[in-house]
Amino acid sequence: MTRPQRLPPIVERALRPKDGHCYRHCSRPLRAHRILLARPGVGWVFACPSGVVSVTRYAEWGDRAPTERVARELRRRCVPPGVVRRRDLRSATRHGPELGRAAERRLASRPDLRVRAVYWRVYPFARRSVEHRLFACFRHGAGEVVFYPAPSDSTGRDCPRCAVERRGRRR
Amino acid sequence: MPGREEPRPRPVRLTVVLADWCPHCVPLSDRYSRRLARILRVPVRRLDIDVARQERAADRIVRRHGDPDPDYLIPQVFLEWSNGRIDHLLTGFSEEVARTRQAWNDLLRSGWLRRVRAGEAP
Repeated sequence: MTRPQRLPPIVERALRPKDGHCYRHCSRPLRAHRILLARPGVGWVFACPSGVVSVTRYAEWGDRAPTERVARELRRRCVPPGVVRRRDLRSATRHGPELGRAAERRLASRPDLRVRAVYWRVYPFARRSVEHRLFACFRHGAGEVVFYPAPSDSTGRDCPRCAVERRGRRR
Repeated sequence: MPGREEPRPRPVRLTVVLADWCPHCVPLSDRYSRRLARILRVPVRRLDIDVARQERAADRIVRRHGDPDPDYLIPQVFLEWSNGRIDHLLTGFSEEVARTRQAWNDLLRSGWLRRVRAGEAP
């Protein structure tokens, strides 16, 4: 087994998202938030301005899919952790030829490694007959994120960790 | 026979694992896989995960050569070679359909495809 490595910058650029839109929620453009999810790779959360998460992606340069490690790191950032289910995590291997000529040349230097991506997508679900979605709060420092489920029409201000911090400040 | 060179492996079939309801698959990857197959002069095998018999074959090739998961990503594209080797070429980009399209375009312009067309097996 080879230790996973950070993505070469040229590959990271090739994987950088273009423009997506919030699907079946508000249709507004998605923002890509870079997060510190797991080492040595790079994590991105694609969310609309209200904080509804379209998909979360982690990628590294390694010889196997880091799915279990990513699941553990996501659970640490999710309230409650049980929202992170194995079946919502999907892996993808990215090869040089599909990432453009520059990335193809760079990746050819280490044929033993592949770009390993893991996607986490939570589809809307009903809780007490109310449609819920996964939200993300980015008000916890650079690269930090808190995931939480909330009703679809929520304004994105119901982060449970923000609430705990507010209560702590009031005491 | 001693001294006789093994023939170079050549592509023999392109396999696409997909579903009709998936916008990354139909029409996008359906169309691009036919284009790639034409360039490589090989037939396309389409494995629809919603058709029981095809689903079994799809699960098998994904499990052995692709990106397997309990609910794996589609489309997944594979190239089969005359020596039995199977290469995973592409998995759909969950971010957005446009990103999957870009991956197909990059694949069609890649140095890898140029080498395969020139008869240089990777």
